[in-house]
Amino acid sequence: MMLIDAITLGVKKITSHKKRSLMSVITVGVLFSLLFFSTILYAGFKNLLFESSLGATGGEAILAFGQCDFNEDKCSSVSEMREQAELYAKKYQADFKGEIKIYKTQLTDDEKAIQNAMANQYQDYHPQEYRYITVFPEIFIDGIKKKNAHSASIEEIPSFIKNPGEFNFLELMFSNVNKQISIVPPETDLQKQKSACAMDGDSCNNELVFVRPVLSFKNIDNAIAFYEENNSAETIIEPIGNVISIYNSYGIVKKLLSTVGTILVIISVVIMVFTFIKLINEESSNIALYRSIGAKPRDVFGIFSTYIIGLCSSALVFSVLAGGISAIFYSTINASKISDILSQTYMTDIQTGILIGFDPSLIFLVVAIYFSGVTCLILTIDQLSLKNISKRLKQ
Amino acid sequence: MEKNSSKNDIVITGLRKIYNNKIIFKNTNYIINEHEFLLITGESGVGKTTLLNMIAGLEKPDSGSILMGGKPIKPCETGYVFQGFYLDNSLDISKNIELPGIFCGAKKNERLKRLDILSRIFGITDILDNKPNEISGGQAERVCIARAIFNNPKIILADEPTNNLDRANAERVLKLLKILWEKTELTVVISSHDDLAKSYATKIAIIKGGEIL
Repeated sequence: MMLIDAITLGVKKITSHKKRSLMSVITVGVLFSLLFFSTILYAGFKNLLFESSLGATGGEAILAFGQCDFNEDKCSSVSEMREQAELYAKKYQADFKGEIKIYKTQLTDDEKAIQNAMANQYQDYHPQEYRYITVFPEIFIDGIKKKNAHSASIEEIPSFIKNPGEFNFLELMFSNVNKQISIVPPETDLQKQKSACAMDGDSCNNELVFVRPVLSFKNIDNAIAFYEENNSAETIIEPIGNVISIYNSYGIVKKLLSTVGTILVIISVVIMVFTFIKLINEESSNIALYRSIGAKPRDVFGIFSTYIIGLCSSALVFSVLAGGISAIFYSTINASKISDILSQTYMTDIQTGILIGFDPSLIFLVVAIYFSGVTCLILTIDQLSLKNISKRLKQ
Repeated sequence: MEKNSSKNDIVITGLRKIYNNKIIFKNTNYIINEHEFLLITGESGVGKTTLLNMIAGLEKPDSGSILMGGKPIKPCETGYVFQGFYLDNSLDISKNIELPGIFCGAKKNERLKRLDILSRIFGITDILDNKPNEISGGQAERVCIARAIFNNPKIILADEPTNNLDRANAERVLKLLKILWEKTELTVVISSHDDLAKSYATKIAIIKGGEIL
């Protein structure tokens, strides 16, 4: 039997049982279109987040990792961290930009007075003793590269300032706390002592409390890979800029989707396999007929491989079209709204873009569809035998 | 004796078959002569279909052999007419008739030529594009017989061809097979417990007690 004949007969099976084929394709297609829909949106969401995060870093993904907390005596040595940074830079084709250093200085008398005043007024407020100064080796502020830019903050935002309008003066005071990159305080203790300070912290009067090596990635995929690898370990890692929450959101979404998605894929594959096995079993009499008029097992396998692979391909096209179109539709309606919500939530400029994209897990979905087809063929292989042939012909 | 040695005789030697712990054939010998119209009869479940399947090479005997010209018979050398005139509903009539040619390696041109001849002989040219569920029972019978002889086989096997048919239809099928037998060199073997078939056969074999008598 020629291959072309097997394909012709397989295709005829799909087209002649239109209703049956369509029902199977829709059953399988609906399940997988949901997966395609969520994966395409997830990929778009990821792109939107990471592209937005690049805005703060001049087109490069800048990630700091590890920690050298001198307060808690956790740091073995700065040189050891640098060594690790060089290794990562090589592995992920990144540039090692130096270290973020955090110093602490005593508050000025005026600042101490404000702290004490607040502590008197609010019972749950603990007055801060230090201002923390962060020095970045190289960052972009409003698109301009700045070396050794630094910001200052007086530790955490008290919870009570989250009531807007009530404590405007406090809001104003702490408004810069979470916007480390977007501000460069005009005068800090660190700047005052800059000429006398070697900027490596050790010889500076300010007390160096924290060191984090910084890597800059031109390739966002390498940045994501690095982030994912290190985030799963105990190593602390964070992107520089107002995008920490974005990366965290991405991590949550990814974890959620990978868990829910894996369960959905398994369910879909099982349903798909059973749907196709039912179709093959309905063809049992025809298989017996073919075998009894001269078809070899490989001929029948060829026909039904075409049949099942054809159905898989139809289901794939259905899923991609239904999932893709739904994702585009959803994205068109909601992209601007989502960008606004994210911009407000993360206090960074998240552009309005199309919320669709490509993710390697889309390939996994395609593989899952064809895997189901092949599994079905393997599980029904006994139909190719001549066993009970008379009974099957009389069914 | 001279006829028994013909090249296309079907020689059954030492045939033994056990089915569901029941002995169907026990060391049976039999010769079906070339160009014979043989009726195999016997009670239900005695092994008529099993014997046809073994002749067609669809079932293997536990021991013994069924040979034609000293070789086992292959499905492509036989034409099989199934009980109930079974057709594949997913294919049109022309494809149904062509199937044995497709499976046994006939080229497309050759298949189309044979299809054209057979459809004219059996008067089914106007239903070639139809689906099996769009034709009458009588037409289905003719289609099945056309399919059975598509590969120009040496043997036609028909399993209970008159089962579930009224007398007129049963007679029409048997007549068709008889005409086919008369006009060709075919050996026709039919299994049936229908007395009507006896008048068409040139020889009757009875399966009884694990023997072919």
